[in-house]
Amino acid sequence: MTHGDLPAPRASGEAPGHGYHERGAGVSRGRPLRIEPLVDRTGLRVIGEVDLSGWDVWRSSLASVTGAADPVDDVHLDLTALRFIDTEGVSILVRAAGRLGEERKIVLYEPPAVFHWITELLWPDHPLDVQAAPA
Amino acid sequence: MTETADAGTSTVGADPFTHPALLYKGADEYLAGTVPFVTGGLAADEPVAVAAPTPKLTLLRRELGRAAEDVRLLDITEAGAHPGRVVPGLLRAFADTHPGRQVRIVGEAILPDRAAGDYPDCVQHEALINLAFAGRPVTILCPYDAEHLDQQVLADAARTHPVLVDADGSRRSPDYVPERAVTGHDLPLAAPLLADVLTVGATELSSLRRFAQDYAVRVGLDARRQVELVLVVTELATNGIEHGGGLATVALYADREQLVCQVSDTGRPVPPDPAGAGGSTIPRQFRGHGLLMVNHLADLVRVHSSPEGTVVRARFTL
Repeated sequence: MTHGDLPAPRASGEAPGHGYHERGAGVSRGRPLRIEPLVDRTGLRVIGEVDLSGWDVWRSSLASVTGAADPVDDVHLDLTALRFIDTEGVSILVRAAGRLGEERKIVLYEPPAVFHWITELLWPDHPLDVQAAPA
Repeated sequence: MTETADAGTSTVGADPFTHPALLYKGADEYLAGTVPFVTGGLAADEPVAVAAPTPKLTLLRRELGRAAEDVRLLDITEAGAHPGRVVPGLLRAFADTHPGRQVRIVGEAILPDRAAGDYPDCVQHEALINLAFAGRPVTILCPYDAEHLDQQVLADAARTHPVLVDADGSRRSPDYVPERAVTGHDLPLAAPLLADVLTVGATELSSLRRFAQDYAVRVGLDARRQVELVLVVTELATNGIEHGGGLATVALYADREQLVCQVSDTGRPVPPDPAGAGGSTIPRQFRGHGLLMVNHLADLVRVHSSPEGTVVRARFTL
């Protein structure tokens, strides 16, 4: 499940960042979003930026991973290489979590700072489980 | 003025959101309008918040006595540097902490001593309240000092509030057209001569973010404000691209005091949505979470719509 062709993962050894700038420069052309399945558990690694150009891919990837998973599994999203997400991107994520039901949840690892600002204002009671770093 | 208490429970149309303006003269009328609204909410076990300047909070505290302890009192002279933060930040956050419950809020954001230059922005924010809360079970009573505010301000209150309350009681506002207040105050926003300008489409937002990031660094925004500008620019350009013809032109310029981000779309204006809040005709650009976010992060936001398209200008104080 690879989308786009311009991955720009954070350089190894770089200190964990909390802002767009700290996460390095963006990708200048083409789709800035790449999404890969996790190998060791149900979930996705999200690399790059979620904006208007990637909403459809983001939505269908989340629908696919939440729908195809074993109904008892939580869904893990490694966001350590996600440099930016806009309000609609967060809205898509919150809606996907809302569809999972009470038995399962979406676990986010290290979302960027904008994720926190957006949810604090617009979805303060979101059901997403936010954690510091992938285990 | 017993009818005033009813302002909290009467609704216009099917929208559970109610937004009456209280036109008061003097402290007695202020209290007669606000206290029954507050105590009526408490009696119905509804969460109640009051966002007001310090003297009004003192007045209300004294009048409410111990009941004031059950009210969330927010000092807008401290909490909100400008109404744009009051609207989504304080009010919506308060409402959102009580999902599914009927909530009452008293919000006084337009004050006689506010600088005249800020006034058009204040009106826009009042109109934006209607959009931010449409469909939610929330009542926001907005007191207006009818003795000291200009007639123009009171006329605008009638445009931005579907219900008017004064010493004579509560009535439906005949002039309620919130989008007129949103756009009617806009002088055309002049195109800046010395701006950094970039026009982008849907697949170029990443480049736009780098452009904004570089500009923010150059003018000395701190790290957090840099990220805020990047988000604001993205949201405004996304709106422009989606609703205004597929391209958005972003101009960034700054002087010693402020950084201005102006985003123009190049297409025709969006046809009004007939199913809009209160049955009004509000451009779709004003809906959605993106603009709420922009309104929250920027220091002032102004919108100008014309047959050539829509221009949104967001200002960041340096």
